[in-house]
Amino acid sequence: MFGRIGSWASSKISNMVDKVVEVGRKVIDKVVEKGAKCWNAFTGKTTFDKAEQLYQEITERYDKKKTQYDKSSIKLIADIDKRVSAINRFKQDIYDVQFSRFISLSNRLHNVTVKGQPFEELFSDAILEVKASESVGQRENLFLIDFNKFDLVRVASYVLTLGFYSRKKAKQTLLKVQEEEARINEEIAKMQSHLRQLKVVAKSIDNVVEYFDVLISNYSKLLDRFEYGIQTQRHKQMSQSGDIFAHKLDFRLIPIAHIEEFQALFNLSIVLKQMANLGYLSESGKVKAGDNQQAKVLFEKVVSIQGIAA
Amino acid sequence: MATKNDYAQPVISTEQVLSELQGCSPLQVSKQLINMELHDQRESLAVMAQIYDEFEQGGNVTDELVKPLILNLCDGLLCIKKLGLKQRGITATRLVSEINNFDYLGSTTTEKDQRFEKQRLDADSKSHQDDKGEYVRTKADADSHTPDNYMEDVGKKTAYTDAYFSDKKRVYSELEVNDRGERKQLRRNSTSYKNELEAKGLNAVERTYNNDHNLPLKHIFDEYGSSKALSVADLRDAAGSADNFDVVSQKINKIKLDSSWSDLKQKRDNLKAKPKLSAAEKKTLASLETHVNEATWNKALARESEARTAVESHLNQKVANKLTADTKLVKGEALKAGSKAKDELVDAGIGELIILVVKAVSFELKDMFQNGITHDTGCSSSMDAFSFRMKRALKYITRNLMNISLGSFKDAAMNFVKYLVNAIVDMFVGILKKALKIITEGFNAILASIKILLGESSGAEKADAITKLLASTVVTYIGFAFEESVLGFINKLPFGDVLSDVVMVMFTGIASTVVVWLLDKMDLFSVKDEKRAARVKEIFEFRIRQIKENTDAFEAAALQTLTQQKLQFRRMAERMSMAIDSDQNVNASVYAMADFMKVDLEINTTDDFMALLVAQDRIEV
Repeated sequence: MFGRIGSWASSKISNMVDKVVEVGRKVIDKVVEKGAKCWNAFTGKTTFDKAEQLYQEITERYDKKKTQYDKSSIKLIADIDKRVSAINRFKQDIYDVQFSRFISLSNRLHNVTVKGQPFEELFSDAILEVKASESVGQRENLFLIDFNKFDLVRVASYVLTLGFYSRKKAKQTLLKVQEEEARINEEIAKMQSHLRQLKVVAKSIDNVVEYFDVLISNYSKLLDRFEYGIQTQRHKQMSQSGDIFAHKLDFRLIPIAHIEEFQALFNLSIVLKQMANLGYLSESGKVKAGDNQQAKVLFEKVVSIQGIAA
Repeated sequence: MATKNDYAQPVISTEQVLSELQGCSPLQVSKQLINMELHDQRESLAVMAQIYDEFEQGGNVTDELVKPLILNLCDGLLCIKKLGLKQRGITATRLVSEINNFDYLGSTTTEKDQRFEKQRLDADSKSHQDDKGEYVRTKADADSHTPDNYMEDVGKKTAYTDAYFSDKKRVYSELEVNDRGERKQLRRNSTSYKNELEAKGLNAVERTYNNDHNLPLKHIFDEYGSSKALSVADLRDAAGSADNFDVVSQKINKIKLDSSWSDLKQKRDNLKAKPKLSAAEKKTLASLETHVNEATWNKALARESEARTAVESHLNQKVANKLTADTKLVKGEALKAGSKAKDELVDAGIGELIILVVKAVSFELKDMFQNGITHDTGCSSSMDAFSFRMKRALKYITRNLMNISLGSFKDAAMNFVKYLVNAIVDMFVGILKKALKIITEGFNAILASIKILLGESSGAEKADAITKLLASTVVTYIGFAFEESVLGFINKLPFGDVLSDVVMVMFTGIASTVVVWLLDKMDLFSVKDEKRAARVKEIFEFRIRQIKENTDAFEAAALQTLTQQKLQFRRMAERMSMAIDSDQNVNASVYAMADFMKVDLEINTTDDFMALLVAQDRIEV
């Protein structure tokens, strides 16, 4: 009986003790919290914390933007690269297929040569890549004081200078991080500007691809028409002259429509040749095969076209 | 300092991009687009470094320290009373800064010289001292014209004694304790008792009681008599406070006489410290040592501070009552403060006028020597230019007369308030008066602080400005504290009074210049860093805005051009394709295409082409 009362009482008492301890702890926590607040304001730790938070924030923001930028620019540059390769193939096609067909066709009428070789543009990332961006400065260069490292001498110095020293350092730190934020914003702006520029360039190179594609197909169609005409004329002239082995048709004897086709092909060849001899993103590239003399002529031509174009 | 333009980005407009793109072949557009720089190639770190450099150049010891110090020395010379410059507020520092910073667009402001203000305030305080005539102790000795002007209230004294004895024959002394900690016994005076003691060979003087004023009557009369709000009767009343009475032995009272306990202690300490004493001094010291032991000193001094508190609070209460009850008193002081402020207004006004004329004229002279007489006047002949300059100066002076008078009137109004407050403060006594003095002595500093606080600068700038203001005020006042003690000997030199003033002005000026310079160097509130950070922010924001605007312009123009070219090309290619399919002449569309691509064709007609075929055995593309 007494034992039960005793245990009941002891449990009550221990409950009460717990309660008192708990309240006591709460009070102490509150006092510590308030005291820490005052101390932090006095030493400038509050400012320091703000600086740290901002540093964290701008580092994250910069890294995120930089990753985005790297990803997007790599993709854009790869796209542009793909188009440049396509253009290179078109150039090769112009010489290898279109021009040789044109020469062989027109040789039945007149001697035609195409000098020079297609210009294979070497795609270099360097033209498109933005200069290495400067990331957020090193923490130790920006932070003039570190409250995270506890040191008795340091705490004593805070008190002895009435907090002036540490408050000042904390404020300077915050200001430095704020300056860094402004600078980082410029870096981000430059990246974004560059991405937009790349997009526009991609779009423009798209246009060029279309020019090649459409013009080559028109040229090829015109060659078909020309071939048919030449063929017809050959039959006609052969039947008239009976000279089956004659090498060439006499251009003076064929209808003007075919001369006009010849003229159009001749002029269009000049256009295509120029297109095949140009670099579209830069001057870097090489002239495909051919002898040096031809390359030199071509190079001069390219330069002069650029001169006109510029 | 570099301007914002030093950090500017190249500006790109849509029109500019359009005209550049449309001037070149559509085949070259990509290259053009790549080569366009939407921002300069300066790295952001380099820009930051440049801004930092800009802020670190600032320090120049000659400008910051040497020049002001030399001017402080000149200030000292100019303050000589006979020159009459000081009371007009003209100092070398002010003149130089006014002349150097002069520009016709600015307007004039008035300024204050702290040290001079303090001197004026002290003079003002002196004028508030009331003359209560000779010290008279007893009613019987009082002058017949002023029968109430005596200090001893016998009734109160007797009442205190009676209350203390309350029918006892022997009492204990309130202050005296022997070395064993026992209080001294005292008796009422009587001839029989005296005879009785003398028969035993004992000293009656030591055993007879006296009722002593702890703060002596003369002491109270001298120390508090200067208040205009207090009459001799008020002082007598306060001296008769119960806290001011001590029942002590006649012996001690005779030793103490008209000094207070703290004065007496001072006297003992001085005698003790003195290496050689005269016979009389030796006797005095010996008597003090035998009759007043350490315990007695402690008791006496504690009692004195009680007495002082009681007397002062009694008197201050009285002053407060009179101020609220007696409107004449305040009115009279207001009139006096008004006339004083008016006198100063005249002096200050003349000073400001002199500065106004000097700075306008010296600006013209300086400008004439530096840039030539016709510079910036729009006149061709020197005569015309000269008269133009004089007219310009005159116009400035007349325009700013109003400012000056307004400024001086404002100062005068503030001075009126200050002097009135000072007059009232001077009526109070003791510690309360000292505390209240802070208000008047720091009057200008307080007003200036309020002005700073209401200003538009940042928190740190305000804190910095107020710290500097307070520091220079404190330095000025410290200078005053030194004036009497340290520089007292200068007064003994020939022209001593003039010289000491000169030295003091130089000293306080130099001290406050150095203190403010040091504070500036220490930059407690990081004002410089704050300014730099603001600049960094401003410049980067400016650059970023430019980058965005450039990119916008670039993008708009480029997209417009590209779309336009694409459409144009498609239309031509379509036409060409149709011509090919329908067996029509294709040449027109080929020429159009070559034209679009900006490719020059030498053969422009079919006839030309025929001619070419005829002329050349082999044609070359």
